[in-house]
Amino acid sequence: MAADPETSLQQGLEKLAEELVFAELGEADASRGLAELMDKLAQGAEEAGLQEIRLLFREGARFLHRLGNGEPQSCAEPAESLTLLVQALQQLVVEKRPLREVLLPGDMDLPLEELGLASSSDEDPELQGWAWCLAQLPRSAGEEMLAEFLQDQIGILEEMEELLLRLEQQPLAEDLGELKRRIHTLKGEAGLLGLAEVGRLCHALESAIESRPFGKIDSLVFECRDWLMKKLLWCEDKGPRPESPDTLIERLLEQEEADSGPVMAAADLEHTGAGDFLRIPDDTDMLADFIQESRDHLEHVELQLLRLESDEYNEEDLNAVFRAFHTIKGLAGFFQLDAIQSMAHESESLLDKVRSGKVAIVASTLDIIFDCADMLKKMVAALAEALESGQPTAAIPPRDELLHRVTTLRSAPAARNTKPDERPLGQILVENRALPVEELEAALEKQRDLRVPKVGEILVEDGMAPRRVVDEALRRQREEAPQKPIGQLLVGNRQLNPEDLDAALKRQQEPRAPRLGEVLVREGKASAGDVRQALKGQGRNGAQARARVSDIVKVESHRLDLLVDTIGELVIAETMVVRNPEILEQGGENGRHRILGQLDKITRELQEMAMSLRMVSLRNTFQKMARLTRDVSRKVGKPVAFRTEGEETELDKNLVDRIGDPLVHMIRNAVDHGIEDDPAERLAVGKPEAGQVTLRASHKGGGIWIEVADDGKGLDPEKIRAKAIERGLLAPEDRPSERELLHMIFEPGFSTAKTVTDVSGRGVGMDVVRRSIEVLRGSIEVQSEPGRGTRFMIRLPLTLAIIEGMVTRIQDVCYIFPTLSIVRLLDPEDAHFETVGRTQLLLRLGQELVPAFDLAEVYGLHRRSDRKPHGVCVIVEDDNGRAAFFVDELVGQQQIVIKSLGQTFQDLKGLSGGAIMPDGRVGLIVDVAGLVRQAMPAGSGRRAVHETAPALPA
Amino acid sequence: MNSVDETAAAPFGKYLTFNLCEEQYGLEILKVREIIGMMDITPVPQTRDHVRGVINLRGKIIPVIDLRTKFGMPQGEDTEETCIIVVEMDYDGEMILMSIIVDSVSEVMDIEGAAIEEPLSFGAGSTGRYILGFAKVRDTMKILLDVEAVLKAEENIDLPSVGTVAEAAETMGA
Repeated sequence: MAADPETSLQQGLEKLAEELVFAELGEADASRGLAELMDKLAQGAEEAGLQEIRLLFREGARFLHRLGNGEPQSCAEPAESLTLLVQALQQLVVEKRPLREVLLPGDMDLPLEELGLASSSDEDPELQGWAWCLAQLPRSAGEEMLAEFLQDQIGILEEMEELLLRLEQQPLAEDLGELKRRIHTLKGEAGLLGLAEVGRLCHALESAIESRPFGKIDSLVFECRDWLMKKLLWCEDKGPRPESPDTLIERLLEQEEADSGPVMAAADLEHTGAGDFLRIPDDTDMLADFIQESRDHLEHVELQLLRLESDEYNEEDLNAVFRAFHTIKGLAGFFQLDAIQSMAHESESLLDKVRSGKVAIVASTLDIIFDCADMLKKMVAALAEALESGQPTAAIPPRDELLHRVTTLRSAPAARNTKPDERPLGQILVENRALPVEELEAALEKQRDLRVPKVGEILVEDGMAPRRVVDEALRRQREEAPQKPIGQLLVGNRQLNPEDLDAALKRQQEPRAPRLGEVLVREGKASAGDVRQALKGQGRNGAQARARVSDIVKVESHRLDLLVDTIGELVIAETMVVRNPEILEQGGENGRHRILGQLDKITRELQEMAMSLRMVSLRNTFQKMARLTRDVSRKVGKPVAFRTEGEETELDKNLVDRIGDPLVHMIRNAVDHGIEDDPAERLAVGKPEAGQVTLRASHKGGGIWIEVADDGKGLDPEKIRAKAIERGLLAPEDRPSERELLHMIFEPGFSTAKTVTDVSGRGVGMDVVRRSIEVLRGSIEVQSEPGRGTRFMIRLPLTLAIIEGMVTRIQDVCYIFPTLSIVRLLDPEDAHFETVGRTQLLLRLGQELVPAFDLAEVYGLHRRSDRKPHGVCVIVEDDNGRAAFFVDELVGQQQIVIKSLGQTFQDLKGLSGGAIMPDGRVGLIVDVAGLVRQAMPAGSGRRAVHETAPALPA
Repeated sequence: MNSVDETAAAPFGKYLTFNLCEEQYGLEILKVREIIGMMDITPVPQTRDHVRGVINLRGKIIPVIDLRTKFGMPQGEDTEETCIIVVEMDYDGEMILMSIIVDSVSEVMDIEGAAIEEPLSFGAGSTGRYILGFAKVRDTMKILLDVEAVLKAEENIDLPSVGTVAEAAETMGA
């Protein structure tokens, strides 16, 4: 069978790639051999109708021929260039990637025009720029650089969102400067990598912001940020390709004209007005020198400023910056470039104040100096452009706002020193009149008192003894034994074990005096703002921020996963060693036990560390929600105040990544349907006009709680009830509890669009929300009060990798229940059972009847002839209600590292994974929600309870 | 002969041969990760009969398939020689580990291309896709299994016994 041209092309290419690896390119014969092969392949490509590929082969062949003939080469390392070319060809031929997406060697003089890569009429100037530009980069550096750029900039764009939200609320010069700098950096880097679209949008955005009335941020800026984000994500292969930014750019331009139009007119008269011009002097040769020199100076200025920002105060750098501005001022004066001269002059005067200690070197000052340098740079660049294109004048950006900031700062009262304030915090506060002297003395007294915490406090705080017990003991101490230390009393009463007491006493010795600022704020003596201000003066904030930045190491997440997995295995292996009866029996000597104990301790520490590596804060997620709330509230036209609490709460990255979608759903619901449509309605019942939506996160009981609350109209139980009956989820005679009723909104039946408006707007895909939270092994609760609002509470485990598990046994297999879902453990002997119908067993639990099942039977392991309760009864709870399961035996509680059972068992119901048990065998982790659903198909179990409950004597 | 075109001939190369119910099978050695002795297997409830359960392979949990049950052969007692062969396979683009229980492992042998017969379609023609081919080595017939296809198939498979295979092969003029 004759191979089709494409297949033979592929095979040929493979052979070429192989030979290239072994070829000695220095030898003429080898090069010629390869060249012939390339020629043949070019022919093959032509037969296959692949013109571009033919061209590349042809160029490769020519290159090799030249190499073989010993002709001079354009590139330094021909072997590398060739390898890159062959790689590109393989991507083109084998993977069928479009030409624009492959990396071509930049130094082989490829006929880019012929390949359609350099034509300006190209429909997609973006990729052209990219491919071409990568081609110009040092080989192999291209992709790496791109990856690094993307990683950095995506992070910056994420932060930018927060910045924009802040600016929208309150325009601060500091933030605005930051925003501009970030856009500018992005523009510069994008330009370097040839991401032309990004560059163009950034440029338009930059000038639009520049021309706006000070600090005005609107939705268009947000849209631009979103576009940039999408674009970069697309470059990372993580999302669809955004449309061309042209419409955005047009809108920016329109706005810019509208914004700056009138100012422009005025600028003709006013010297420093927006967007005026520099006249190009006649002596162009000397001007070119000036441009070059200014550029050099400004570049140095930036470096020195950066150093000033990151290092301690450094007079030399400051002087250097001063000198640079001074030189530029002088030269500009010589050329009568007034705008540049005045700008440099203002900067110089500002620096003079800094030098003399009249203006403090803090972030905001540096921002302004940076901006001044940027402005000068821009002007010089405009000058250069005009000079090159032979224009008589150069357009320069408006400088009013910046000059205004410079003068404001310069003329500000000399309140603070240049150098970090070395006075004690209290003194600063008193001298700033933020605090009366008497209060300070009282606070210092208090600080001394607080320095040594009481043992009881430590015990309660660390959870070694409940507060009740400690209070009780304190009472006894007062009444009976005033001489006896509280710790001894507790230990004597066996309410505390001696080790815990030792630990608490040790902790008491630790210096943990609260800081003065903390005391002041806690006691309400000074406002947090004042303290922060004073601390800032002391330079403490800055120092901390710097330390954080320098301590971060970026690690690829899969390496981290690998580390965590490996440590997980180590933990298992360690458990097997430590609990191995043979090793333990041999013991007897203390030494072995000590070593084993130490091994155990180190392993646990390692495990904890590994876990903490994956922990990230919810900050980013919450920030996204802030943005979402803003957008939705605009869209539906309801004013909403959004608050977040506890965004510093940390949890497993995998969880953080996956909690976003359900939160989006719930926040959208809260704004769209939860908050009253008409603000007047709110005002009428005495609520603030703006709806309050709160997102809160906290640690509680070994898990994480995330709460979404609104103060809207709340859920209407009657409407839910009506809907549930209509949907057949509830019988008309059912009397569900309020909680059960509210939880109906999580039923799939409630998710249609029509229901949404009927049931006071809730229930949009709430079943989807619940399911995605269950997947994360969490649960969701809802509370609502008509007229007062609705509150959703999501409980999540800290991590997906480890659970606290109750190990049970059926025959010789371990089944593990997540401890979080266990309500109670019962000995069936002590329990009362009822039978419904012929089969269903019900366990009486106080007022409640809980359906009971034999776990082995549910799993289809075996059938017992009698249905008598036996073994141990595990009572679990999930959103479908409670259920009891019999197992043969309880083994005990332990931390379980969850392992996947693998793809093959994906559809398994009632089991969520496996775990390696201390004896090395595999234990199975029970999926409680799935198990309950399986045991009680479609409401049968629940119905049974509700229907029978009233019939039974209480 | 309709299935012959679809099924590529078994590649020649090294095979791990093993015994199952008096018959000899071959498995491409490249797919074999390791061979381990019989160990504790945790049965997984609500799975098919041929799924014996899962084992702990140095911290990884992998499923164990009982090939006898899978092929509809009579159940046998585990012996000293019973082995678990761990294979690595592509499952929807991801490399996963699975394992099979066999009566005993014999040897690793080179099987030349010439010795390999293409598989034939038998009867309903459904089992052909689990067989890469037949190899005649030193007068014995070895069934070369497409282990990925076997492990991916959900249902139990009735492989024809080698007797009939051999006969069929002979009559086809092999």
